[in-house]
Amino acid sequence: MTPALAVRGATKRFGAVLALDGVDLAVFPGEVLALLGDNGAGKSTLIKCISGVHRLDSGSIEMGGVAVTMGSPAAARALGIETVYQDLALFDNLDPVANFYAGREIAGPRWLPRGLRLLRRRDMSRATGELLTRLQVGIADPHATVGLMSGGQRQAIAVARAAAFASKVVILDEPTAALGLRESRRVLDLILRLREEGHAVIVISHAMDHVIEIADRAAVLRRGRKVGEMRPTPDNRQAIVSLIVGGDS
Amino acid sequence: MTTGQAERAAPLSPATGTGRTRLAALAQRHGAALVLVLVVLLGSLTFGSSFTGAGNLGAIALDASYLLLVATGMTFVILSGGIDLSVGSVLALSGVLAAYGSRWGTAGAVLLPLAVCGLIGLVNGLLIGRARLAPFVVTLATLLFARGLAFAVTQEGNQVYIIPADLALTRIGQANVLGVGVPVLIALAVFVAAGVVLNRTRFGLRVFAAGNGDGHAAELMGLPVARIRVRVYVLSSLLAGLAGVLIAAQTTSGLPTLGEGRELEAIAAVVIGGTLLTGGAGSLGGTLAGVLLLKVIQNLINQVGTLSSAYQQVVSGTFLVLVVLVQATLARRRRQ
Repeated sequence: MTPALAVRGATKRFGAVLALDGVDLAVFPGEVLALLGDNGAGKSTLIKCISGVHRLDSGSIEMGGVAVTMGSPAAARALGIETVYQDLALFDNLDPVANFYAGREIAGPRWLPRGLRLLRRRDMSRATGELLTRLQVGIADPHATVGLMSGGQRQAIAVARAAAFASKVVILDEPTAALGLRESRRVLDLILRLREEGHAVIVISHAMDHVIEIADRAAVLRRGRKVGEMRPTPDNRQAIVSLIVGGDS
Repeated sequence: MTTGQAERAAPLSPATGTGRTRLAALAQRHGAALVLVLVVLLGSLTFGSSFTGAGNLGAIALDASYLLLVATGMTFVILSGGIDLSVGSVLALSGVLAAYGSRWGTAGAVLLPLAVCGLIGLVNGLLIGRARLAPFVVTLATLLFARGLAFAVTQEGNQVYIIPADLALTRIGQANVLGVGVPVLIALAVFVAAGVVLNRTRFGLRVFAAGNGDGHAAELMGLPVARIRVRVYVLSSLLAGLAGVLIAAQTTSGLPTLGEGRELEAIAAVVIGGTLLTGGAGSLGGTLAGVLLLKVIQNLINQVGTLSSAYQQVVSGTFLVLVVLVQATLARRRRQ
């Protein structure tokens, strides 16, 4: 089976710091891959290279077996990769519909030049409503700006936005870090639903319980290197933790 | 909830909440319009027909139309998270170039200034959007540059270029349609078009998106943030240039001292209209109310007669402080 996304020999240097040192990673359709590691291990750098925010110094990225370059976040999005960043990258001043569609607005009529087309708000509104229903995300007031919403709702909107547009890969950076129990539950269910729909999902998380519950495979980074891969189960929880912190401790 | 399209806070739907936050949002959005109505009522009761007469209202409208053009561009710039200090100087340069270009007919008097102003806006936009310099510093530099150029073209103001009275441009600038000055109609047409662009097009939505925070989210979401910024500064310069051309057409000459402080007046009108100086939230409808409010207050102080016109600025300044105070209070309350 061809991986939805494969990274080979990923190397990234920031000045004197070697943030990534020849990392190989692959994630398959319908799979949740947990990316684990201590702070500074290179997890965020790796996903930012995949999502086009940073560029790899060397190494390659393939999607469905074809080599691609992630020149910008827009390029990565166009290739079917959606990322939920740790800070969510939401437009706090806009409502959920605008958050969904900013950057890929629906506008018409088609015979007008792109710049003169008018937004089709009703279409965007309806599609957003349908998606939120499908993902079972309840928004108390769909016309409020997302800056006024709770942490859980904001997280759900960011995940739903990624789910709406990702055709292949969804990346989530610490999706439950700032959430309470019930809100975490919702986001985890959302991730499982993405897997059911056949997306390849990469999740960065420090919450080992969540990883064990939802991830099919865990890759562990330490100081920019991949130090191991494992099936996260309650039994090898300790093994994973010692991989994260360093084998000998 | 569905107000006129120009008055919406966010392009897809206005911010609403429950009870007090909803009230706060309403006050923010329509406060200037409300105060405008009160001030106009007060003016009519106090001064009667010397305020409400067609001649006086026409003069207010004409004066307001130039400011409305500049403030419309400024609204886009501020919504995108920037500021444009160069518009007053650009307006003056545009007036001077219109008068200078009138030797080549109306086409020269319109195209020369607009081309130069568009270029200045492009430089502003590229330095701010692509080179990521601070809008305050960049547009301060073009403020000096454009004002200096206006003085250079007129030999330190000693050379006054006159627009021939028989030029089509002059006739347009001084004409009335049904008692309304043509510059007023042009400004209103531009304003309505700008409202459609801001509230109904991709570009408008992206201006709001780029104005959220420092544009970080917009960049992560793959929006062409630099291009959006370039466009708002070009738009701002072009509208200031248009105002300069219309003033030159109306006065048949271009003075390099024109429009001093206009940039601050425009910023004041935008902020009084409820647009946040930090970007991302506001409306063109508010800007219209802010422009009219400033101009009506100026007019009323002139009506008093015994008050020096210097008090115009005292009142405008006081008003601005009050608006910003209310905005800050509301913003704090909404966050709670």
